[in-house]
Amino acid sequence: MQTIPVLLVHAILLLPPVADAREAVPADVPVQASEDGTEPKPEYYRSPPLPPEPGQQIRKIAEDAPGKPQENFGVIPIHDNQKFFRVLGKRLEYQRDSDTEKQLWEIDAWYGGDHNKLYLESEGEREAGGKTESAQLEVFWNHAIRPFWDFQLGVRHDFNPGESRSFLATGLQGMSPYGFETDLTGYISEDGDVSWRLEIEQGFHFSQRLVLEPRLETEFSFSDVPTSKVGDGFTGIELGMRLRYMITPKFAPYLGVSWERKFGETADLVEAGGEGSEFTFAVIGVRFWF
Amino acid sequence: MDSRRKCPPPTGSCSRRTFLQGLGAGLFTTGINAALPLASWALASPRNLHAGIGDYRPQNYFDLAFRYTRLGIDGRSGTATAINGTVPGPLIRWREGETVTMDVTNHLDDTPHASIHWHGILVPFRMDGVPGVNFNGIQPGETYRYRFRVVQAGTYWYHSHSRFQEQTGSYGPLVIDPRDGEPFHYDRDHVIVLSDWAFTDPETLFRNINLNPENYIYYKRTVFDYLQDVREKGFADANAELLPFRRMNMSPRDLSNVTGYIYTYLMNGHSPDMNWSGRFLPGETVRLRVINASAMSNFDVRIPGLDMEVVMVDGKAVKPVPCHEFRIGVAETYDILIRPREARAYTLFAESLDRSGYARGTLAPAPGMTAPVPALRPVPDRKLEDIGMGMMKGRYFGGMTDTMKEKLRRKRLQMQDPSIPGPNGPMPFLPDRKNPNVAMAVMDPQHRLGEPGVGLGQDGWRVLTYQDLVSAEPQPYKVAVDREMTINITANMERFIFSLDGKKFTEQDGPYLFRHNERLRLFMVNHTMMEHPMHLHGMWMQLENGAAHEEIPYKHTILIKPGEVLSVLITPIEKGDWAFHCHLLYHMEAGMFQVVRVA
Repeated sequence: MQTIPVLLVHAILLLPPVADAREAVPADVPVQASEDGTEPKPEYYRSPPLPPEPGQQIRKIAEDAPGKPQENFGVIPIHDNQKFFRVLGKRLEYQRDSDTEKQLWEIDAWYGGDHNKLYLESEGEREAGGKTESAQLEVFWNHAIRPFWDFQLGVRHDFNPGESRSFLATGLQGMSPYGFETDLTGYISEDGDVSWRLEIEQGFHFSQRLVLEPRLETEFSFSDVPTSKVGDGFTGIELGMRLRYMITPKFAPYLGVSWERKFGETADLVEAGGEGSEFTFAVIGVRFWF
Repeated sequence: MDSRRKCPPPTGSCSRRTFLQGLGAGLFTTGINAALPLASWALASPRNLHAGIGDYRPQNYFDLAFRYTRLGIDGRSGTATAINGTVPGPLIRWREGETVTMDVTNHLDDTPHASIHWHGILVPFRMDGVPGVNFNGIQPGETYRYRFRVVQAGTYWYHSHSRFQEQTGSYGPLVIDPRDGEPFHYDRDHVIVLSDWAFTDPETLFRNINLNPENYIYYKRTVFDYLQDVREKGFADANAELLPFRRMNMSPRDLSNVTGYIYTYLMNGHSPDMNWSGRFLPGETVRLRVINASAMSNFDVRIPGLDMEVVMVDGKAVKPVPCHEFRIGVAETYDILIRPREARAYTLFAESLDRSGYARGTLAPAPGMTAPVPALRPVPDRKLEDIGMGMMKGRYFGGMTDTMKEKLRRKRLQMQDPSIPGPNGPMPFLPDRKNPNVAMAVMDPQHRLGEPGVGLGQDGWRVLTYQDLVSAEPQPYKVAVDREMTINITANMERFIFSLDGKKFTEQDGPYLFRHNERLRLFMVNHTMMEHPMHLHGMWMQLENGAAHEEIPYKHTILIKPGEVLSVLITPIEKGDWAFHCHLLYHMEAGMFQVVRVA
């Protein structure tokens, strides 16, 4: 039984007493807020308004906010208007058939918030090792008008090797019911030529990382523009099928096929220039975003 | 001083181990953070069982400090915004009726502010700890003194309300001892803090889910799932269920935004491999104080082989409910009693709602024991009925038919489902179809407190529902309701906009107005595809779940299911501005937040 006093001594020596912890509140911390609310208030503090008069209709919202109650004490509690940027490489690919090889890019980049964005789209092709066949840049103001749709207003510029052209552009971008990513844009060129273009994409998951993506692109012109080899009516259609593997959500290489065909007068103009009007390409490329 | 405060008292069974724990806690505050990133109330392993928190005595003063701390989990290292150097933070224990003081210092030099919100605690308005609502936050280098009288008891928690600090480890358990003794008997109690940890910077994480809401979803439905449905249900039925989802650009697997792909789920700061282990002795009644301190993860908790008895919810005693599993929404707390008789190990298993991972610990009578870990259940699919869109079934094209509209109108005239309390039911929400913030308005919200929720209830064991909760604490309020109000929970996940009544926080015209000491019936209608743990600061919500009026349960956070309507009774007892928000951190930061003004 002698061990008990020994242990007690040890306990007293080793374990600091905690009984006095209750008195251990330091006095040197300035009081910024007290229980009864009588402390001096900072300059930016707006006291809650008086309660409504008896009998007055109680509203759901206290609309008393000239200085935004959301910023009381000079601090915004929630940052739900954060601006982001995003670069989305939709197609960065190499296409080939029996005669031709070409490289193609379609890259979007935007900066902005939930409802308004500055939206850039660039698309173009070049022959492998050769000259750039076509390149275009579109700059839009994107404005959210429906849960799944943005209205677009902006300009397009074609840096074609022959003749550069500029357009006013307006359209709709978003997701249709059943998940079709859709981009419909109408153009008026500087010469008054009117056309529109439609792009539709859809993704089918075969596994968590393997996605089959059919793609359709078509263009319609209301006028002949022989210098750009564009005829009246539907100018052409492009159907693609790409199978991509998402190594990460941000980086997904793919394989696929793409079938292109020019129609009507456009086909005649193109064939007159010694080019084909129908192609089937094998494609390999990568889709990415950051 | 610091070590003195953390050390258990010399009374009772002060073993060498608890002394070492106190010593460890002292080391944290002297700067050796990296060596021991776990608090003494949490630190345990299969070889070193935790004895429970019975040795931790209530105190009236706590000195808390935010610091960047290296945190090691499963061999990887991350940076935490730890409170007193540990994740989770220190165990704060008060006694009901006493005045407590907490000095909180922000040593995170590059942050705009830090803060601590005492979750579920009734405090004066300036003590609630939401920057921009209750004070201006704690600027780097500054100390804020919280001081108030504790007027309640039970299991709670505390966390930072500044930006994403809660994701990076600024949270901890808060236990209040009742003045008049516990309402039930137990021999030992453990604190179980569930949380989710990402090694990715939360700003990056937030950006990724903003730009690509499916970025971390690796349980998407595939073509093969569809073919299997066709095989099992037939072509027509499979389409009738799935295509209306696709038509709305939704997925039956919109279960969460951030998953186990990026998260390590933690129990008391321990990964499943680290296996937090607590002691019990066969025959003892053990109280588990389960706290969900996650940023984004709802959990389903069970202990295979043991019956559980839920005795306290959100810190308030309820009449004991036996069950085998319960769903704990983010920020809820559940106190359960277990009575293990056998001298074997039990696995404490907390599976995330989307089945993408789990947190796990062990309860054992002796060191070195473990029990098998159950397999994750398959990812559930939501049904149209689950999101209040039952009448959409089989409709692929066009809007509502005239018959459907007529049915809906008549239904609204009939004041809805008789099980929804009150004379009027919720105000119908007719959103502006042009509002980009609202992807879906539920036509026919359901009263579904009796349902356990998506993915639960098919396993042959009993799962707790909100309808089972009957308060064991008397409530002083009258039956008559002065006023009714409806809040619609809305979202557009594709754009990652989360809103209340179709408006993000910064778009709201002003705070919601509650009248001081009125009796308010608040309806909440969930027009989204996900569960949202809605939290109201500064006052209790009493959930009208079918229990007798004097026995309706108190809640500070309510997990509202998709397409659900529910009502709570509120008596705003403290004047001032209070936050009301979804406790999923990234939903809150994306706009699902509002200020409630009590005047």
